[in-house]
Amino acid sequence: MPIRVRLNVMLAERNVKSKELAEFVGITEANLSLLKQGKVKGVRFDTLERICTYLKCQPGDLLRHEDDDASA
Amino acid sequence: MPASLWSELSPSARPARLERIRAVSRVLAYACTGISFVLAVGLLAYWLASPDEAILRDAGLTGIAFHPIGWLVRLTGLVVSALPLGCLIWGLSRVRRAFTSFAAGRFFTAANIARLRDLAIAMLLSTLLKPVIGALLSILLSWQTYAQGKSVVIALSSDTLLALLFAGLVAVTAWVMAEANAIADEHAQFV
Repeated sequence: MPIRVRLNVMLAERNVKSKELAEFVGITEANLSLLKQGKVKGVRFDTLERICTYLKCQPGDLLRHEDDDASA
Repeated sequence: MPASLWSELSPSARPARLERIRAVSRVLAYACTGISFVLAVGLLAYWLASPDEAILRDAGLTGIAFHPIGWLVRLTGLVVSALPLGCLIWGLSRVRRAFTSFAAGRFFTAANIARLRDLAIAMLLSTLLKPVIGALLSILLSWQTYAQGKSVVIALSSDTLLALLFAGLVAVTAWVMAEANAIADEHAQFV
C-alpha cells in the first residue's frame, strides 16, 4: 500500500505506550494495533486529531506516501 | 433533504431512533406470529364452517348448486388453498425472525437480508399461486356440486398487482440492505 503508517515510530520517539494513547483517543488497543500495522481502510479526522494532540505532531508525521516503485 | 427528515436523522436523535426501531420491531414480531395464527385458523374455519353458497360465490361460481359440498371436497379445498397461505406464513415466520433481530439491535446482517429476501419470494409465490389455486378450486367445486356443469374461473385483481409490486419492493429493499451491509463493513474498518 502506498500510504505507510508511522505511528509505531512516533510512539517510540515519544516513548508513549499504545495503551495510554488508545485511552486518550478513545479507541480500543486492538484498533490502535490495526492502525499501527496499516490494516485499516481509513482514519477518521477526529481520531487523527486526538493522536496528533497527544503526540504533539502533525498528520504528515504519522503518514507517509511511498511510490509503488520505491516500495517494490 | 427536508428539515424534518434532517432532524430525524441527526446523530443526536440516534438513541431515540434506535429505541423506536427496537420497540416497533418487537411489536411487529408478535404481529407476524398473530397474523400467521389468525390466517391459519381463519382458513380452517372457512372450509369447515362456511355455507355452501358463500364458498361457491367466493370461488366465482354464481350459479345454483344442486349438490351440497361434501366433506371430501371441503378438505381437498382446504389443502389446495393452504398452499399459497403456507408460502405466506413461511415468509411471515422468516420476517418475524428479522424483526426479532432488529429488536435486539442487529440490523445489517447477512441473515436479516436473507430473511427479507425470503419474504419477497414468499409473497411472490403466494401471489402467483392465488389465481392458479382459484382456478383449481372452481373446477373442484363445480365438479359435482354445480348445476351449470364444470367451470373454470380465473380471477386477476388489482390486489394481485399491488401484492406483486409490494413483493418487488421488499426484494429491492433486501438488495439495498445488502449494499448497506457492505458499507457498514467498510465503516467498521475505519478507526
